[in-house]
Amino acid sequence: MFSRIKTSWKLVGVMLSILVILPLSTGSAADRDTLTVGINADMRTPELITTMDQTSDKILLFHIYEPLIARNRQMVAEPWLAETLEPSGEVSWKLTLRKGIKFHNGAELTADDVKYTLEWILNPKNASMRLSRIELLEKIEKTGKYELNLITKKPFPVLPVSLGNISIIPKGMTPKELAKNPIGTGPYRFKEWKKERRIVLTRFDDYWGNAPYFKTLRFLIRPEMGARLSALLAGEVDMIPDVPVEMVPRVNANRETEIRTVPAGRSIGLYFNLRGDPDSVFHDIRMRKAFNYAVNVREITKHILGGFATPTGPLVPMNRHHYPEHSAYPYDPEKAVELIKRAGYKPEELHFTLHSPKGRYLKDFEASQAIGTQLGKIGIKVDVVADEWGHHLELMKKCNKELSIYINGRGERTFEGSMMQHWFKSGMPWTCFSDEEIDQAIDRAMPIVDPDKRERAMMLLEGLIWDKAPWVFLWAQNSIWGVKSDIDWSPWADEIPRLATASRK
Amino acid sequence: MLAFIIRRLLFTVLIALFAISAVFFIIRMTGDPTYLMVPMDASKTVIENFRHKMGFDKPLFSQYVDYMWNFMHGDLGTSLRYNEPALNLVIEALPATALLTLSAMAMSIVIGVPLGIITGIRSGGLDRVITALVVLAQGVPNFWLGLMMIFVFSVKFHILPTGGMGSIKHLIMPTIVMGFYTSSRITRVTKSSVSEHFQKEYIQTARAKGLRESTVLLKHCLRNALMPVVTLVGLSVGIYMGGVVITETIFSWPGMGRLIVQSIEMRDFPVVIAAVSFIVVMFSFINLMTDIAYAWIDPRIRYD
Repeated sequence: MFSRIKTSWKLVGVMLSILVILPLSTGSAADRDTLTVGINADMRTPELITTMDQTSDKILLFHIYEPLIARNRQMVAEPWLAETLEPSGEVSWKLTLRKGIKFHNGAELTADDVKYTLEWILNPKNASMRLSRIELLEKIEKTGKYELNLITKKPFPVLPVSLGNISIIPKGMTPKELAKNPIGTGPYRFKEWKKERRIVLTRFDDYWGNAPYFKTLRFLIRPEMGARLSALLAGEVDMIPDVPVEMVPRVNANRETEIRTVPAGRSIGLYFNLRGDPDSVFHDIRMRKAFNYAVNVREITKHILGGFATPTGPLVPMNRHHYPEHSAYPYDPEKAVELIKRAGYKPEELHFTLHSPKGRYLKDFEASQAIGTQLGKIGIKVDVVADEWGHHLELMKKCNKELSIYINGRGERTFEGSMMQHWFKSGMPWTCFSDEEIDQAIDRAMPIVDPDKRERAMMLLEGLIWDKAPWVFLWAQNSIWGVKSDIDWSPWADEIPRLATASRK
Repeated sequence: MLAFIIRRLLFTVLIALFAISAVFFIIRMTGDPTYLMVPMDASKTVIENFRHKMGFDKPLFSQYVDYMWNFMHGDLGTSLRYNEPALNLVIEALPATALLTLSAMAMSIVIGVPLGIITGIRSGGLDRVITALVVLAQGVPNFWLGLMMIFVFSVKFHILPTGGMGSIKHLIMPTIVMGFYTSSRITRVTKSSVSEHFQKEYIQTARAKGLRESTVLLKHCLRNALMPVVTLVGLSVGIYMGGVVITETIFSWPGMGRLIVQSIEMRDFPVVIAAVSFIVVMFSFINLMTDIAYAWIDPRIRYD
């Protein structure tokens, strides 16, 4: 019997030897012509007409699909598939397409494709999540093979940037067909999607613009941060997004990798629930300002966020228009106490529950705990609660009394300030703030088409928002990527990577 | 035996219906999935369109009746996240989990049963060393083991890939992490069972008949001693097939565990229900197979 056992041990020995002599290569970031990205989630579907989520955009936008208008590095709108887009009246725009652009199926891009795409999204039966972007479009008229008139329901000055989120698809193709066979005009064409494993795109040789350096783009799905980071350090991937602040030194310490970062259009704030709580102390503007003075934002951005965030006074530092006189609220706890007393309260009698997401934004829960501690220094008792994200959304949606103060982050998609209406206008989904004066200022500013007048109105609106302190202005977080040093690429403020611009040194 | 199998299958259907109903109401009570699906700057129209398309604007009980009606007709619903039939997603995740389960169980049996036999029939230095190793293996958290293996074999020495699925190399580390704990449990169970049976009278009788020691062990002792091991293997296979969240997460293994966790986070209830239904059916099937295996190992067992 023991001879059998010895045989078993031999077998184990042989198996271990096989492990040891396995080829040393580990599928590391492939050849020079392939760019491999370790991404934190899979896309929802390979089409960008019905759904709208950040990950799908990161993977597909400017790779497979392209919009009429794109933003440059400064987040200013520029024509892309469109040659020109100009207002031709208060509620009409003239759009001219570039000529000679081909879809991946060989068909030429014409006005028919643009009309089909926009009308498909506008049809409420299709329940497209992109509808919010172009809801003000009323009619699309084809005036030539490459020309269209876009008629809006009312003045729509941010139409160009809003079109930056709409990818043009070939006429007649449904999202169902696109999900099986994605066809766009982008520099890469679809090759393979193994759900929750990888997405592979290959270079489109008939691309109308500059040919990308990399022949192949591979997105490997690595939802867990540790796994993503290990893949970068092991050389299996060329880049990863959303590196946690505490991992930054580890990436920089590795000879072959480095951190690349850019201030992104996502502002984090401490919100007050006024809509659902008529008895809230924050109906008094002095209380809202007191909280702004009581939170030491600079200390948090420096020590907890590692400098990868910018204190906000302007709502989104990357936006085009800012009220020039307003910077971040200074840290002044004495003034905070004085304002609270003037509002008729004693700090030590105030007790709040601060609802915070955990892992949604850069060090969100840790920062919330720091805010709780800082408010505690002036006597306010704060219990910090970490919410599961779905529950957090549910609380924000309901805005009932259970929610008093909470952390949230909002992305600016237009970089023109038009998101202010989503953030502060009474009755908007996920907005628990309500102020008549701000509502009126928003209604005045948003429809102005003339650039100079619009800029003045937007700056006044931002100034009013600063003054009314509808939230505690916290910070705009950076987009932090871990990248192999031999990759020539840097991240974009809107968090869409545009990897056709990347190359290997 | 046939009547027993039919009874068990009917019982499985009842359990599945109960589990589906429970999952439906629990997951929907935690909130409307719409708000996790639409972007944060979605307008009211977009939100209403989506809720209408998905039927979320109907009363919850009415949604439940619709869902169950479709379920009875073989339609397990469409994933809210992927906009694909939920059952397809479960079926797609299944091979990855099955592969990992089979390889981990094979490793556990190949290591655990021989070690259990050795320690069960011998006492002394080797027994103590193996027992100590088994205790250690049971105490090591699998997430720690996984991360350490990635650090050593992937980051430091570049021998194995950090994660993902594709080749035999991708399978090695997750198999070891999963098999490490199970093999130690199998070793312990085998050891105690073998040592218990090794002292019994029928073993003395077999020896008195002049049979070779290996025959006594393999044909007489093991046949009885393996009953609890079979139970343990059956249960472990059932648990693993339901997905091993930590191992799948650490190694980016696209299996059932990850699918279920992500679907719960996104309130993608059709996928959660499809996965739960599958797990209920599979668990019942494995239990049935285990019962049949009992009868095969021990002919005295009858289910009539």
